[in-house]
Amino acid sequence: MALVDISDLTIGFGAEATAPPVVDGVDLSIGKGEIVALVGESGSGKSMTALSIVGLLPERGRVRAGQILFGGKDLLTFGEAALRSVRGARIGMIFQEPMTSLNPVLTIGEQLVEALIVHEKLSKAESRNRAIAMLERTGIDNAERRLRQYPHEFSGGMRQRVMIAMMMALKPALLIADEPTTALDVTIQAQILDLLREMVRDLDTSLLLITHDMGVVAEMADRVVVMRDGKVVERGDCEAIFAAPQADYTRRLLAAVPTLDDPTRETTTTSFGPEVLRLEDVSRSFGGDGFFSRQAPLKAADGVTLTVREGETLALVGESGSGKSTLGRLAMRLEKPDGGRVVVAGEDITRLSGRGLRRVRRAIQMIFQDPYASLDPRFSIGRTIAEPMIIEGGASRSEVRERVRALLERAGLSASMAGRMPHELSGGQRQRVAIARALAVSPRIIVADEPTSALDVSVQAKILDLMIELQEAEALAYLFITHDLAVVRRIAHRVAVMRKGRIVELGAAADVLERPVHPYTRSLIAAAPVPDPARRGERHHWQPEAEPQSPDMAGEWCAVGDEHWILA
Amino acid sequence: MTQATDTAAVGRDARQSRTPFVLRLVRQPAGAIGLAIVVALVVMALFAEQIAPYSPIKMAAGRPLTSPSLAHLLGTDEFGRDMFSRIVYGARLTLQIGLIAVGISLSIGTLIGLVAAYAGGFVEKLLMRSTDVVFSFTETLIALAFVAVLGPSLENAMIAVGIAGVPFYARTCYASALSEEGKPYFEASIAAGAGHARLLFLHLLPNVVPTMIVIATLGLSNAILAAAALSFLGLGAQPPTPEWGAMLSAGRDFFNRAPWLMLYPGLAIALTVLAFNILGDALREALDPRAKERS
Amino acid sequence: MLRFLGQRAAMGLLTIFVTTIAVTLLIHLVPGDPVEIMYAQSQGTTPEQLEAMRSSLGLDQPIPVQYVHFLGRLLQGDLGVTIRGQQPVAQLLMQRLPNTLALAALAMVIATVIGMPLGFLAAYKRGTLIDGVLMVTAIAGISIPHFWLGLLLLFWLAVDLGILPVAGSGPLNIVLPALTLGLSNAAIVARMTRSAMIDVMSQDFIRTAHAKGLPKGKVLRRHVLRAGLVPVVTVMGLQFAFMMGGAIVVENIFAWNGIGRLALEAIFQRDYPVIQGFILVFATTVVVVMLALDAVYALLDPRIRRS
Repeated sequence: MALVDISDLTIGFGAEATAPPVVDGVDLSIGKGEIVALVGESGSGKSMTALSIVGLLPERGRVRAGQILFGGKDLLTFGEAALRSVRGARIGMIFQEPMTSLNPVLTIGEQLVEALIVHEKLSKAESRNRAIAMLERTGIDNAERRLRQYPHEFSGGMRQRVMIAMMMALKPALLIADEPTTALDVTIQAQILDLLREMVRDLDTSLLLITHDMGVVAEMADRVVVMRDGKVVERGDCEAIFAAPQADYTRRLLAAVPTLDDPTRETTTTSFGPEVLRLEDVSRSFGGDGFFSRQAPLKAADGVTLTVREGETLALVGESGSGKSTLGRLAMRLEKPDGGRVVVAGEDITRLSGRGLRRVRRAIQMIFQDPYASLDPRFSIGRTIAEPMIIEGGASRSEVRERVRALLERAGLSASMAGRMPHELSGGQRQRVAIARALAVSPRIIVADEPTSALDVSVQAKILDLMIELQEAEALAYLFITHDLAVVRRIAHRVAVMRKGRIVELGAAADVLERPVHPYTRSLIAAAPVPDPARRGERHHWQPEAEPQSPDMAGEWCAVGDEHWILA
Repeated sequence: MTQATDTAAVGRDARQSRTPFVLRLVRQPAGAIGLAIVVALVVMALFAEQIAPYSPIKMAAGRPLTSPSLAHLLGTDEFGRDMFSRIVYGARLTLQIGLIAVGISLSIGTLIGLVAAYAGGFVEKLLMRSTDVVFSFTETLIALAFVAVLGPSLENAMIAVGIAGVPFYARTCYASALSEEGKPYFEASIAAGAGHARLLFLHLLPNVVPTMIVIATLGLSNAILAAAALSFLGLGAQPPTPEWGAMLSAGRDFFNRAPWLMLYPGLAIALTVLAFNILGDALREALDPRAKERS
Repeated sequence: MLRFLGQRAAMGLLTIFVTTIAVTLLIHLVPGDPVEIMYAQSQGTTPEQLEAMRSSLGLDQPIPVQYVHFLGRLLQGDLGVTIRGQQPVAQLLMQRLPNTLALAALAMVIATVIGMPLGFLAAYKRGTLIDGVLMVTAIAGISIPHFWLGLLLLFWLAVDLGILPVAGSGPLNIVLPALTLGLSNAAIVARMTRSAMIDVMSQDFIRTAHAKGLPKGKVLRRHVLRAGLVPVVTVMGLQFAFMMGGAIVVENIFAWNGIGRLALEAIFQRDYPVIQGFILVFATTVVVVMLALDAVYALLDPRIRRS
């Protein structure tokens, strides 16, 4: 008998008559010791399904029908007290945001032991020992000292380890993990996934893994359930689903996932035009000033040199805190460099300001990550796209209107959208509008800062296609900032890998992605989940001892191939 | 790196925008009540001459200290002035005081907040540090100091209350402008070559206005209370001005013989302040649905 | 944490420093001749006497010199003498200050003891009838002018029922003014507490606590209350400043002998040395209390305590 057997689960917000259900007749079963991945894009109802198992639906959410059998008993018939004795003890849960999932004013120790005391009636000393053992088990050193620390003294990955220790301490029969690694860097994600798998296997715990990432699914799952718009569209063994997806939606979902096996884009040095962006030994640090501050300044960019040519995409890859976004802002001169030169379309804009800067800067435009904040909520779409032209001046009202229409169509939107307001658009549509706005001044280069990371994977693919198409048509250059190697593979001609404010490896996409030389690049590529269950385990884990060099990373550029350098 | 394309959220936004703002406001019962009282006050203020049966300062409109009756709805005071007429004219005065004081706080505060957030660097530090310093003086002390210097009068009380409110408005506007400035749309506009005027007045200002409207509405109640307190202490409106705080203060001497002299002005102040408070709360909820949970 | 408190202390010192400048300039902002205005009420002062006063107040010297003199005297605890009666201002204020502090502190206790539990209850019962009733009461409470509430309490409890003294300075006399001030601020505290607690209740870590299967009471006591106290304490300083401001009004209703009553008399009599001293003492008190509350806040929030 399955450990969990959900049948005909229907969940809705508010009154049945007015609000359609967010989960609609879902069946789901999880066997003992099994890892089941619940996959879907945002709004598919996957998280609601999971939360309903432990009775933690958001305030107005109600289960309208169905049953949730856990060990043969229907959890939906449980009262609050009975449910509480199951929660934590028999079913554990881990959430997406490690930064906010722990109470900031209680020590890690206090938070670790409280469930043990409540459920197992352990003494203070016993539960403390158990907590220490669990922390050590999840790979946290100095566990005894760490117990007395507060969450803000832990990094994101460490907090997720604490969460795992906390939830596994009672050896639950089922662990529910809701996007447990989505907020983490790829190298940390690999470690946390390994830890999760190891822990549930050792303790014979079943795992319900909720994710949108097919790579994570392929790495982890025994079985897969695909959800869309509140309904299950496909279920089956992991290998089978990746090898031969049945449902149309699953097929599209898989097709949209960029894989590390796709060919990189063609690069021939000669096919690109003149240089449109040049960063020369650019540096920028933050903090470290102020009377009371004793912290050393953070070097977000530390002597970075790179160029982008017409028609070329240079992908800037790195994990959070690597300084890649700062570099993009420096190129735009939204940030002033402490040292070095920024040259756009042949003009040095390092020292320009005011009118002069505004004139030159039109050659370089930007697309941002957050589609919701990218558009002024008080400007209509048409007005947003027209703004750069109005600032430039010289065009008549009807010319501007005509051009807005053309740009909208160019970005794959209908011209009638001009009258709409941003909040009426979906994330993907907004990102298209942002692209249209960037194109309005006919720039030579666009800095794109994680333009697809906030989008669902199917939308992401379309935006990338659009960007490639525009590049080919207009010889646009892109400085494409991303943490996602699969996206890099799809769009980049050349790749620069950034770490702690410095470029550690630079070269043609095929060289860097397939023949990485720098240990950090290697670890990044090794950590990226491969959306192919057949190749599970091929992934090489990053060994912490392989950590390259000293923290200041003094080094010099060495050519390791044709147009391929590393910092060594 | 969180996924954000939430079609449900888009749908929710769209539904909201279809409902006219005023409707959303009035649909909340509290908002409707607040709005109704405010409208009544405005009518009283605008048509005081038509509504009030007597001049507010006419002595011996009736016998001194007569209790409320048909002839004198709210009775008369120690000089035989008609209390109802004084209350009605008081509404005009009170709204004037509130609007002028808030006008002063709002305009200076918004200017300081916007400039500090936009200019950055030294100007930002200077403006916001001084705002912080002045803020810790507390509004009462600032108002008192101003009246002490300028001398007790209604005009000076209004100015004092207005100036005293500036730091709060400046801080709120600064925080709001700073968060707008950090949003990509603002930087996209910079990248498109927008000049200072465009950035300040077409992007920044319109996006801080909703916040400022909310705090100005709540601020009206604050200003009215503060000015009434000053008048009550004798530092604001001087007799025979029909100002509610001053009337209340004068009425306390006759509490035993004529309790209405103290009751009605107090009630008038309380109702007015209440109206702006609930209207402000309702406005905030209507503009930001998430605030409902919190406030 | 020391760095945080150092920053706050520096800010407080700056505030006091700015106050000293403001207080020196204050007398020059008075429209007309301050000396003439000050003596306008006493009959038969000769121009010679006015001139003598001017020089005794130091007003015949350049402003920077006046300021240095003022600062020098201030460091010795000398705030000058009153115009009427020639009493030392510092002594006068220091005699009265404990009364005002006692009033503000007692009011603060009343406001906290009533407001916090009710705010917490409303947050816990959010959306229910209890919450509704509490919040309607609270919004009505913040709308009632405290001077009116004071008068109503005075006439009801002291005049009608006669259970409390009307005015004076006996130990029971503090009850009415403190109650007045405390009750009006209890509403503010309740609203604040409620929104802080609701904010905490919607945090992810509360969901974590529930997912651990902790009993509801434990989640509330351990997680919600401890985390919710932090934002509540941060605004306590402002609350105290508010109480000090309110005390000025309330002291005058109940003839409570605090610095607020002194200040009002001084304003009417145009006794500028007293007004100057009052502003300085008031600002300093607020700065000191805020600093103390900052220290409490720093202790409550580990993110600051351990930095």
